[in-house]
Amino acid sequence: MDLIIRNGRIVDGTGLPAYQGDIGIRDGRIVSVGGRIPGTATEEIDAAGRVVAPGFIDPHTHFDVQLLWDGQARPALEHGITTVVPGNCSLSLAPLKVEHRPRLVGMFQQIEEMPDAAFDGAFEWTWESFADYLTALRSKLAVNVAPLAGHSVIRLWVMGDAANERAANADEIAGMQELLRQCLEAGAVGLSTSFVDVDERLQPVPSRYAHAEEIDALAAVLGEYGRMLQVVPEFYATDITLARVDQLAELSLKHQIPTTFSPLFDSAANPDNISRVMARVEEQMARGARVWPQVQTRPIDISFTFEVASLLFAGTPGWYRTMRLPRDEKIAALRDPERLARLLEEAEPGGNTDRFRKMRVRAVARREDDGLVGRSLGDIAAERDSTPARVMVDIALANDLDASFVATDLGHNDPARVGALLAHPMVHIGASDGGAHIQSFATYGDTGYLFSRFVRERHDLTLEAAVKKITADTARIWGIAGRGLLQPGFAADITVFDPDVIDRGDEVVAHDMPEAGMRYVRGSRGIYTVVVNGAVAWSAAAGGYTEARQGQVVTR
Amino acid sequence: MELSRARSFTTARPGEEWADIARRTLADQDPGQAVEALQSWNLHLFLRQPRGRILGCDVIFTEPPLTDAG
Amino acid sequence: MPAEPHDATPRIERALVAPGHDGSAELLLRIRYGDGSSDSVTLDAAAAERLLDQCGATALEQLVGQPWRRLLNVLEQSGD
Ligand SMILES: [Zn+2]
Repeated sequence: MDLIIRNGRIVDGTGLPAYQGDIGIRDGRIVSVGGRIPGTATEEIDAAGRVVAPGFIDPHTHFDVQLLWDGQARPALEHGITTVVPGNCSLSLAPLKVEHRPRLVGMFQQIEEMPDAAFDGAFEWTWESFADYLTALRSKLAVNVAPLAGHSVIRLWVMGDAANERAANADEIAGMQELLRQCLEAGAVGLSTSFVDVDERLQPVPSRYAHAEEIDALAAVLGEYGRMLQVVPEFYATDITLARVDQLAELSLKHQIPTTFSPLFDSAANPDNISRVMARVEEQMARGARVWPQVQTRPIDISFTFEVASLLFAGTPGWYRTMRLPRDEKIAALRDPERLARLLEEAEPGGNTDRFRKMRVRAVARREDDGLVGRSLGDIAAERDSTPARVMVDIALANDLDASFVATDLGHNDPARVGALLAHPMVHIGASDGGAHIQSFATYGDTGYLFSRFVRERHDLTLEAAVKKITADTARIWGIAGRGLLQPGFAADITVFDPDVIDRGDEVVAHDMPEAGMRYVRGSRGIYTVVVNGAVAWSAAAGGYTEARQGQVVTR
Repeated sequence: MELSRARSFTTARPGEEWADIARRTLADQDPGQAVEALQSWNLHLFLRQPRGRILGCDVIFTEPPLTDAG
Repeated sequence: MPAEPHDATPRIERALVAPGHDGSAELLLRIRYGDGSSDSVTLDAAAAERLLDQCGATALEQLVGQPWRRLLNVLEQSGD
């Protein structure tokens, strides 16, 4: 054997109770599960007291660009994620003609917030076809990839500039069908489309110009392969989401394909959204349609600066008015003691600091304020013998307004409601958006948060059920064969963790994008070893990331 | 299996504008009022770019929301 | 200023700030139709600002009761 993981508590992905035993691995595959394996292997890992589970699968990511220079998809791998699905929301890096590269870069920057440098020199752009793109990717991979082909780029290839203008004619639809067929032959796990995304000019992405017959024709090609259709619906408008569920159900039944929509959120502002959407999903699933809502585990944070007027201030009219002033007048108003006193009284009436106390400093322009990043305004106020609102104004002014703040857990934040939703048998846990919005918030660590919050703290799911949700269920929903379970013959994608410790780390600023570009990340807690196709790709004992590059395109 | 009643909607056929959709889906109504009604049920299409322009993938409701208890 | 019972004009019934998927705050409006049914729509920060201006409102509560036409006019007239 190449590798034996000994004495672990095996949570095999089936949802059945954990049991004690060894796991043996040879040539990248699991050959033995449970019991005591005699003899020794080239490498052995002692997993006593730890859980040994299938590697986690993240079904909604935008790691497309990052994977070209970082085949480890950092920091996803260190959270125990062994397979990622890039190419969501209608955008993938292939198929793409040379002349369309600038258009795609614009669209990607809008959703991923990737800096220019990421596209300019950080990788060599060698492909046009989906097959050549996968060839370019393969040699670099430490994680597995199940790539979606994006509807917007398929449309762009076939229609050129008209992709952003009009309906496709019959020839163009046939051209898109043929192109999608080539992608699926090359290893695409399905097609992604979007009904809401915009490009860098805030214009609709090409997929939004597709009429029903175009989407139906593409779904027919997916049907030839039984592959996935992923869509982004209008997330806060319940009636529209219900209509999307019905549309997807019809496509699913007609072409016998799985479909998934992402994201589905809970929100106090729209409390019956979840129950109405899930009721419709249940009805459609009962008919045999496959319509999987993707729900994220993490709550939504909102960030703001003093440069633009955030609606967060709409509840305090004086602040909102001040925030909307031209820059110089705004600074003058905040520097005027009398006007500031009135604002502070509005924000903290009678000394009640609830409104801003828990908000945190997210980023600052001045080096000397770096130490404030990540700290709460309440905490800083206590240190300075001040109040949270006053501290926020002080920091904003000291940084010439170039400071940002974050209000955490503002949406999708009712643990009982979200916990029940995550445990629902028809909910697909996902929607992390890993690798996207990189300069706004961290999209990593949702799996750790699932275990810490909803398994360990609240018991909404058992350990076994939570593991199944993000391994075997995901593989089955997406038609990813031979992964997601700890069983002989399955790929040796394995995550070893401490169930009492596993969690996401704090959100921090990192400068690890090309040319020291910044993004928000979260490290992991309680993860010990991550094995991808039999090779140890991350190990706490070995100091983190290893040289292993055993990742595969799993659909091929 | 019978589905419960849901709010009825359509999607535009290539080239269709508000008036065309009103004519197709609300044929028994005065044309001007039909467009007015359609737009009032589809404010979401005015709350995004390009405002009020119908795109191929858009859901277009052809009746008001189903009456709820609240 | 709630709608009269016999008034058929759809109106804004409630205005709430809600977290958007991309990490910014959005305005969620509940629209009440003449037949008693209701629906929600979401505005981004810029559109919400224009709506408040056009309605002469300084606080969200002042949007309640505004007819849908006003909302539409604000949005149609905006240059962007
Ligand atoms: Zn996405």
